[in-house]
Amino acid sequence: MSLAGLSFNALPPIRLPFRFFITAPIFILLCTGLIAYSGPDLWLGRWQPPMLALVHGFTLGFLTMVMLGALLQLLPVIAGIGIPHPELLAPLTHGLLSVGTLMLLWGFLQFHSSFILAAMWLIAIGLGIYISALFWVLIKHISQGDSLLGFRLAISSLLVVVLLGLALLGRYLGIEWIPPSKHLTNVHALWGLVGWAGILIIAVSYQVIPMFHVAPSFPLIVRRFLTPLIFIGLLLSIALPSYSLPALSLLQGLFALVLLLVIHRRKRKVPDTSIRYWQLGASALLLTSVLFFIPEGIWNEYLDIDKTLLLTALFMYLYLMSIIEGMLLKILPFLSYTHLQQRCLIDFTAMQYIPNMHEFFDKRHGQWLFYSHVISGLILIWVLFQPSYYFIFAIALVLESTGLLVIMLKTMKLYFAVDKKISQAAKDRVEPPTASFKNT
Amino acid sequence: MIFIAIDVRELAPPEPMTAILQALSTLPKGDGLRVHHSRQPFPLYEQLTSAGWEYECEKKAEDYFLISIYRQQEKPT
Repeated sequence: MSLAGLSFNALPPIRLPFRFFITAPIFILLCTGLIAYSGPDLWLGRWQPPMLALVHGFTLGFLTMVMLGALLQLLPVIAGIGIPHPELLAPLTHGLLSVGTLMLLWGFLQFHSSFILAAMWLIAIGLGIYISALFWVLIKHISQGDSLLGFRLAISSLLVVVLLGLALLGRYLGIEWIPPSKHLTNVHALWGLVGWAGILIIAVSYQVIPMFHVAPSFPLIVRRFLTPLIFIGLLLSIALPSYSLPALSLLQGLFALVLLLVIHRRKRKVPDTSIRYWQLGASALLLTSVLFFIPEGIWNEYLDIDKTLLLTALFMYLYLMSIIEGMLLKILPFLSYTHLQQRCLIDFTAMQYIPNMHEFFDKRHGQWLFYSHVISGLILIWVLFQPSYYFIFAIALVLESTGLLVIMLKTMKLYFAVDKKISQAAKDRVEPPTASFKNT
Repeated sequence: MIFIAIDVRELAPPEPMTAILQALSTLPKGDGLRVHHSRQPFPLYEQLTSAGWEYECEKKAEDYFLISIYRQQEKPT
């Protein structure tokens, strides 16, 4: 293959993903307020309205927010493609999704139909715009490898999640697009967690682990077949959940093992917080997969906790959130640096203004954030057994999300300061400062 | 045209881009740069053409790309 002089113009301005990233920990802080306000009853079961609000605050406000922002930049970096009109579409999606999620949380908490209706419109339009834009660009680049196949399947899963979510919300308003069914709620949750978030993380890991950590590529058989098999498992879960769920659990466990193996075989074995997040996430995923196969009878005899609640908490908090937080610590300084480096191609003298990579991200702060995430994750599991200690989890979560917010703000502040310095230097060269003379 | 070669396959981002920028900034007139890379550096491609450079990329293996970069007015014959 030979690529000569193709014109790429895919990398959107960094302020676009920044606004998604910065919103995510703010939603975690809101979730913390909800946990503190709702008290121990929140943890009694997954069908409580505050629990529905908490789960959607976390999945839409944090997970989806970060993933949409990251895709804006990761697609151009790893595949040389980007969504059309990002300056228009990204702020629109961000605004509609942010306000829509707030409306949804309020609607769940207050059973307020007008808020639910507003949330349905805002989220449908916000995510609809983004999904359409991504489909358009992913269909155009049909032959670009295993990660792009994963991206397509993840986006398709998001479409299913949104459509099913709208139909389920419609029932709150008396619109019976679908029959009353807890099974369809389970399908909605499964497609969201294992499809949208899970497949996307797998597809991203194929690129990010070898690229950032100089690790070997994932085995070809895994890259080629894992995400399509998961997608088929998700399709089967609609009609045959008792067969597909064990298969999906096995596939997740397989990915966790391969991920740990690839990380172990990396050439660049320097201490790295991001890798520890990946290892924590993979271990939590493996544990979730193993626990799934404990028969209900034995589970109920030894463990006084709802199995689905515990497995979902492990998957969402210690797998998905670990990976996403670890990724943020890696890609935020990297993207800042890459954008500044791009400017140096026009003017090599600008290289002198770019600080050391470590100044964009203090490793000690990353370590503190990692430990605070491990501690908050363990407290979450403890609270599932002992809901009366919910406030300790709320405190741990406030500390962690504030820490994440501060780390991100510091990186962004440095980026804009250096960017301004480069622009000023370029301006000074074009228009040298003129001395003013007074006629005396 | 003489091509100066650099191998960035064992470097983690953003070091490959730093190495390429440093090599380009000191590249003698009339010479080109040949980069041995483990992937396609798409963010680099974005700005090369507008900065007055030309590039060609040859895929040698799944994780081995050979990228030749030279000034637009100095296309090798």
